[in-house]
Amino acid sequence: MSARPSPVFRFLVRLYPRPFRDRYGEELLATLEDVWRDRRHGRPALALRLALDVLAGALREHGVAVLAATPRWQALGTGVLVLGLAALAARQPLADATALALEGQQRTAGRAAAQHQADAIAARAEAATDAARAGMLWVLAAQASMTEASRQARSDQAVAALQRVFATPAPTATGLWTVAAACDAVQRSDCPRRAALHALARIEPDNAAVWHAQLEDALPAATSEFPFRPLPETAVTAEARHALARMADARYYRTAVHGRLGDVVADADPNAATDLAQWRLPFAYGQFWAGLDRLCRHAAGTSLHEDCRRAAARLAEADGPVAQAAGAKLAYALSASADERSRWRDAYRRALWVEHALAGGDSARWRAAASETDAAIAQLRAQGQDAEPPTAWARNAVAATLAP
Amino acid sequence: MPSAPKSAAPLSPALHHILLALLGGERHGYAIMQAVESLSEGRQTLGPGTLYTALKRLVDLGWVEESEPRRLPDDHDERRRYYRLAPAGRRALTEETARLEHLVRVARRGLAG
Repeated sequence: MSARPSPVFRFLVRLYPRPFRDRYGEELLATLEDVWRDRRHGRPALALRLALDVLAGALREHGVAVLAATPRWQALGTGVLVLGLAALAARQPLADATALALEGQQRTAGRAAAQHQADAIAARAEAATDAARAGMLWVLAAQASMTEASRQARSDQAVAALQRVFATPAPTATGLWTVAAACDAVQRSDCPRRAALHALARIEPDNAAVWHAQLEDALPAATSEFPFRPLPETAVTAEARHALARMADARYYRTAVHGRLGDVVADADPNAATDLAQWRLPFAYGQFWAGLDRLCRHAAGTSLHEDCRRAAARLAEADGPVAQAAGAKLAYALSASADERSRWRDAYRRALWVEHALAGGDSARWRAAASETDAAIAQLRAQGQDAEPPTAWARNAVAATLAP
Repeated sequence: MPSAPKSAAPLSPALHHILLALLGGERHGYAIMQAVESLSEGRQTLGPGTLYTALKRLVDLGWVEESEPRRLPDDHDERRRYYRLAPAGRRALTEETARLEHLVRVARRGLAG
């Protein structure tokens, strides 16, 4: 393939069925060009991989078109054959390609069961006497709702309940963390997240997680670009600077996601169909840390550097392995000496290991996102695994991830 | 004895990772690919062909929607479109996560026993 592969890519895109091409063709071509432009090494292998991938996609789309256009059982054999060829071409499991085509039908069958579950959670919310607990349950019920109207109504109930937390004379830390986590999920401007964090700052002033959350709130939101763009020092308000300094001065970093909210969220579903997962996701997927990282990663030489370095160290001592890994990674970037870098590299690798070993790798790893490290290590030991990574484990991958 | 969770069919890894990538906000196709690779620390990569086939499915299901063009300063490619997570997609992701949580718990109980 030549150094300018657009004609080849254009040819490959033309292998897709016409309706798909009309809708996604130009965009697919642009993305192929992006990938080609950004990967300058190993281009022959890349060219082969892209060609196979596009070929697989085209075959898959033709297979889906066959399934849709002909009688079901007659089409099934042909469709699965085409999907199988697509899966083989892309080196993906056959089940994955087939699931892609068929799961829409299967999911429709699950709607009634999901609605029933949402109604059951709403009934528990209605019965809850504690305002924070009720708010959290209403959020869960809203998220599980299958119609926009019931989602909106339950979201209103959630915000009303969470606001009632402040009507009590002395809200507890658990109640306030529940409010903050529930507001993270419900994403409404009238949800009292800020009030909860300010109250928590009075109750738990030594908890860096409280100040970290305030810092994130005080910074401009991340754009859709990934990796995230650095924040200039001029974007730092006095409020953000204060939160960063308090985070740096704090004594420990304890999130409320797992240990403290467990019984609240478990109440939503005694049959364990719903769990803490939805509260873990923002922590696991970078939104929560994006501000600190964007602010501090390039802070060398600015007035923020020292606070950033100490705040990253607090995060690296957090109670969950994902937070620890994020903190160690940032601390590595801010290190001034080879010794320091070596120490943070080891800490980063250790946190990744706990996370990886606990949940078995791949996508299952995310479910351990906010697990508490002590509990995770105890569990690893109970399974006969070491809390320390094997000597050779992921050394190259870690070095590549930490490279500037 | 607790009953099994009432959830819909499992998400394929490709669909699952795309939904997770869009939790971070709206993105165009190439940014989704990069985010998936980064979030999974290289364990899950999507080629452009796989990505757009999966995106089409997600849009058809109403889980992902195209967002208004919101060009970033260095994005000069008019062919790019931006996608965001729809409320139905967030619900599907929540269901899937609960389903996987259940499996992990069962596995852990089994391993511990």
